[in-house]
Amino acid sequence: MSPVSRRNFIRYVAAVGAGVISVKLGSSLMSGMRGSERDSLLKPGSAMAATSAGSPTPKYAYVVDVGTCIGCRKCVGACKEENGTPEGIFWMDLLYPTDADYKYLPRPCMHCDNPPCTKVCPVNARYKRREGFVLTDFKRCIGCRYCQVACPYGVNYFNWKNPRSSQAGSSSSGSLAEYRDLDGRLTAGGGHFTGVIEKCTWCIHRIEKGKVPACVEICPVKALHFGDLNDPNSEVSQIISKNKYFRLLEELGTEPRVFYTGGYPPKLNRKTEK
Amino acid sequence: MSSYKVTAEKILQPILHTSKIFLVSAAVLLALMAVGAYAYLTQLTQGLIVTGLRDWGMGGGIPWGAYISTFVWYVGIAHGGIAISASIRIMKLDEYKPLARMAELLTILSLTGALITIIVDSGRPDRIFNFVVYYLETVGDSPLIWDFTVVLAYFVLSAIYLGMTMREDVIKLMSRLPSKYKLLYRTVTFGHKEGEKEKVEQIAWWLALSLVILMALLSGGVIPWIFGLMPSQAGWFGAVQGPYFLTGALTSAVAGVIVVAAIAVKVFHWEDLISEKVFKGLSKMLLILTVIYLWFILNEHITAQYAGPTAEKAISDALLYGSLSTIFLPVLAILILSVIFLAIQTLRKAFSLKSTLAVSIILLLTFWVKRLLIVMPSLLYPRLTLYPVGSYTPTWVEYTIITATVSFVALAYMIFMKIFPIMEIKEGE
Repeated sequence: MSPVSRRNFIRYVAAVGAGVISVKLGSSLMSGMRGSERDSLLKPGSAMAATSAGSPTPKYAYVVDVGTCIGCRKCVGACKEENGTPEGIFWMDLLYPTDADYKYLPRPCMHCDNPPCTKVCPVNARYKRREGFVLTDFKRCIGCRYCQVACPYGVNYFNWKNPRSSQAGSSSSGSLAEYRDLDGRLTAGGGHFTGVIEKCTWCIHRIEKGKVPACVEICPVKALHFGDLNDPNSEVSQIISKNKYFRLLEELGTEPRVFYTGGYPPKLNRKTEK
Repeated sequence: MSSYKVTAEKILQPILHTSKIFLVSAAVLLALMAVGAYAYLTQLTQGLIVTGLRDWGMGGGIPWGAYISTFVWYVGIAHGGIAISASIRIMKLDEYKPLARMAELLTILSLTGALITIIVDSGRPDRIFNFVVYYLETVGDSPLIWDFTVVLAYFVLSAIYLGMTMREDVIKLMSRLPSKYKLLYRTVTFGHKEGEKEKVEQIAWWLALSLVILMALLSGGVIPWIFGLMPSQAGWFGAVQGPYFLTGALTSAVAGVIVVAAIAVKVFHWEDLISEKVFKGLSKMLLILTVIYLWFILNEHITAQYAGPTAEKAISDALLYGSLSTIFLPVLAILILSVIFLAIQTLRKAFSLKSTLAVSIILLLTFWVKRLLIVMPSLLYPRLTLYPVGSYTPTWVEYTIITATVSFVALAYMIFMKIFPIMEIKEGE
């Protein structure tokens, strides 16, 4: 091979390579969504698809009435029972704002529309489905915890030790059957795994059966609501259209899908250390 | 032209003679690596629970800590190392040439250290190849994948660069090199042709140029973007991270090169190969870079203090007066004292290699702590103040594993010097 043809060959390879990479980059940046998000629509005819009256894709949202919440932590317990989360891990948790006109602020995952966690995931284990769920593929996660660092809401929990050795006390713990997404990705149930990230799934396995999340179902004062925003008659649509609401850290542009009503946003001032 | 001579005798000295210092330090480093291996085994069997890391938020900890800081530290040294070596080649700084290969080797081994730390930090090291498997899905979005790309590209380019520029010397020395490594020498000189030197020099010049450009773009970009693109945590977001990190990378790299070069001079009596003038130049560089780094620290804190949003100010306050001041203020003091020492040394035209070596070692360690002070505060003081302030103390597992990676880098460096010529031969003028 003469030097000239070798040079041309290198040029050709470089040009093709650069072309492939730029097309790939361009499409992924422009569409703003990851591959798996596009193909993970719900199974036709499933209960979840049926609940969305007239709309092909439901747009799920979660509403918390902080004015009604009595801080009984039943939602926290129901979540633990339903998902069998390991010791010290609370996918649904109750926060206690000190500078607000209410005492309790229930905190599930926000299932953001512009989730920072899915963007940073280096293996696409964290992804968003069209109906709104932000899910974790437990079998793909490498445990780098970047999602946890990128999330401003602190909803991610890492299994620092073997979770089987510290399952929540209840007899139903860990018995939740595997829930697999359309492309077979394990995103709920099936136990818990060392060294991976987990978080609230909005009980996707229940939604698919036409039920609401365990925390919503158990709430004794009906402070928690779950439903389809694309359905104007749904409970959540009604509440959102008739009441003032806020979302946490809205200024970050994460577009959270958890709406809080019945109070003003909590003041977020860190007391200065002197 | 410069007057130094790098004779075959000088170069062959570490290769042909095994000193007591070599054996003792190799034994110590191996022992440290063994302790680290045991610690990693503990971490593998029990999970990352054995580290001081925990969930932030209600968990009251931080999910990233000493490992990630070490990663950032290594990458900084690596990027700066190749920058020094490539500048020597591009600008034809002949006097500094004996440093070139030392800096290249430092780059390659630091990158290895960085890759090891990333794997150690991962909760599922068995799945680390998912980085490659899902590469095309994630390369558009994940700064960690950009990083992975950069570290790998850097590794490959610098390895090619090192290998190419070494061939000529190995060929020249072949007859006098120990025969037990013949296979290695044959491998690195594979396909060597008479008179390839000119072509190799050309290619190396272009490689050096692309490495320098990449370095500025990437060390001033990709690594800081891991943090600078995250508005979720206070204290990270912003454009200053690029130049800030780049300066930190170059400073720690110059300190690193001074350390390896000074030790080599002391151990092998290479005073005539690496002249005092070279060390003076390096210490001047170190002085200027440290001053710039201090100026960036000033920028960071004045921005947070003057009219900063409360979450940003809380972090600056914690560093200046609060819970983190016991770490931050000593770091600041060391940086300022180093500047004063280096400035006096430069102005007085007095020079002590030993004290310069000591300052460089202290600066290297200080920069590690400074890296921790980038990773830690933002996660300790969440923007969502409904969560408590967290706490973090690294455990023996983290300390021993990190020490083991440094030991690995040092031992690999020593072994390389035992097998291959660490400088270009340059006989007579």
